[in-house]
Amino acid sequence: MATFLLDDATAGVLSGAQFKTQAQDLAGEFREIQLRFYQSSASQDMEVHFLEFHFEWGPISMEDR
Amino acid sequence: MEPKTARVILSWGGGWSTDIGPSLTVAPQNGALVIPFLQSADNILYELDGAPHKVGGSTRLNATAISVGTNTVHGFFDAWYQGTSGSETQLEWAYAGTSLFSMTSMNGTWTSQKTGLEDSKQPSFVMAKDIGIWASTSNVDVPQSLSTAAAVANLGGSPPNFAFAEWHRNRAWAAGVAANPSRLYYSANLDPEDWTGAGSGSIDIDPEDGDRITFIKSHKNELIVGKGPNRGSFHRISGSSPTGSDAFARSVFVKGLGTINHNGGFAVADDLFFASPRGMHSLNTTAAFGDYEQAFLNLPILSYFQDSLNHTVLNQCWGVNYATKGLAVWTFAKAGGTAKNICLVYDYRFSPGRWASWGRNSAYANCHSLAVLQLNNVHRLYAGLTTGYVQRIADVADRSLPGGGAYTGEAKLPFLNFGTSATLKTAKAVFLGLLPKGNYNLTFGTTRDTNAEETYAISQGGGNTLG
Repeated sequence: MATFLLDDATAGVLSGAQFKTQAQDLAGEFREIQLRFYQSSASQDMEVHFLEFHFEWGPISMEDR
Repeated sequence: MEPKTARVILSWGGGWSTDIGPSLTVAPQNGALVIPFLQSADNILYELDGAPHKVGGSTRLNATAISVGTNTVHGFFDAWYQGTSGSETQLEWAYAGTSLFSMTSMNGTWTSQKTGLEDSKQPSFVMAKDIGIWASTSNVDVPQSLSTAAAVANLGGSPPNFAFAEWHRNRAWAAGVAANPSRLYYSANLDPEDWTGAGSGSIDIDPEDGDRITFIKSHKNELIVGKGPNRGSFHRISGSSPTGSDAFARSVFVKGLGTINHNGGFAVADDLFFASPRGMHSLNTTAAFGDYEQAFLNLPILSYFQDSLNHTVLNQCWGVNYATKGLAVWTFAKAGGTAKNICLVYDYRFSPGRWASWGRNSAYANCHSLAVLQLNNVHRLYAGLTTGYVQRIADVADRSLPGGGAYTGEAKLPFLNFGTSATLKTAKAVFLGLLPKGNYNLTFGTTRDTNAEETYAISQGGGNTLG
């Protein structure tokens, strides 16, 4: 997985607002897709500011799902 | 011919909704798609760009649990006494189990000040001329004065046995008297301990109309009187004295929508928010649109309110304006139980406001009662529990509950078809813009059509900078 970082939360190398973009490969066909984020662990936080979703268009299909 | 590869930026454009539907069938415009609602937003707060952020944890105010009667903290209150020496005094008061307790300046120790009250009644607290007034829905217990010396005594001046009161235009106003459920009482001028002398009196508000007075609030130089819980109505009391050129006058404000109880209503900016048997409302909007459902604050979650809460205990709800974070918060019991275990949270910094829940899918602090208390002069949100504790909630940095308990913060989008369900698509990748939190993961899940959800661990650590 590639990780693109604009700052370092621990080292604070660039200082100021800290942010990073984390990439995740996906696979599989879909007509509709639902995305979900969750954080279940004690003492652990979560804050998601944006998403960029990449997909490829396939054929128009009447095939039953 | 559509391009083979698509890149879509998804941004947060709305809050939790149960009623819009499960899917968003909108095509991206110029590579961007605003998500106007969420299928779930549990145990989260919104950042101002709409980003979901796991709500803060909870810590106990009192380390030792109150143990009397049911141990339930039915209600609590931050009392500030101004005195005459130029130094104010802060006391907290709580009605828990069968007793009234005081605490000095948030020091964490509750001290019993009165015992032998009826348990599990709905209390109210209000400050009036440097007296804290406690009253409850008990027909046995009479209103109490809570003094700056942390002493409790029967409220003087022969008051009626009211259930709730309000300080308005230099008088104490009260209602909720069982024998006269539609009667509004007021004290003598500048004396909340004189209910029989000159200047005191009462006003009947449409007696025997099928409702009782359930709510009173001083608002914009008038006293707003809400009736309910069956037919519903609002009334306005204008004027400053029983007689004279500015005599008290009552006018009907709205009919068809009213209040479920006294503690579910509160001021927000120049408006009043309140709970009714049908949802949550703004008084300003109600004045304009009446009981028109499109104008309800909780329009996006109307069916959740109607179908998934225990309506037999709606009249025990608490609501509070957590202005520090721009939130209106109400606590209710989910269907199937009587213990209040879900907060419905309305972020009014957005227009329209955005809803979230605390405790819907994953248990959070079970907030039986709510109040904003000042800790070191900062207004913070606290909850009274059924376990004898008052707990700070929502803004505690450690995302855990007392004892290290975990809870799940979750944001779930609707199903997306990117403009067509006729065309098969193949997922390739997602790029998540995160605020790094630590060397641990969040979970990202995708549900493709009718398949089971697939999950991925996403690191939230800082890592190394671009090189």
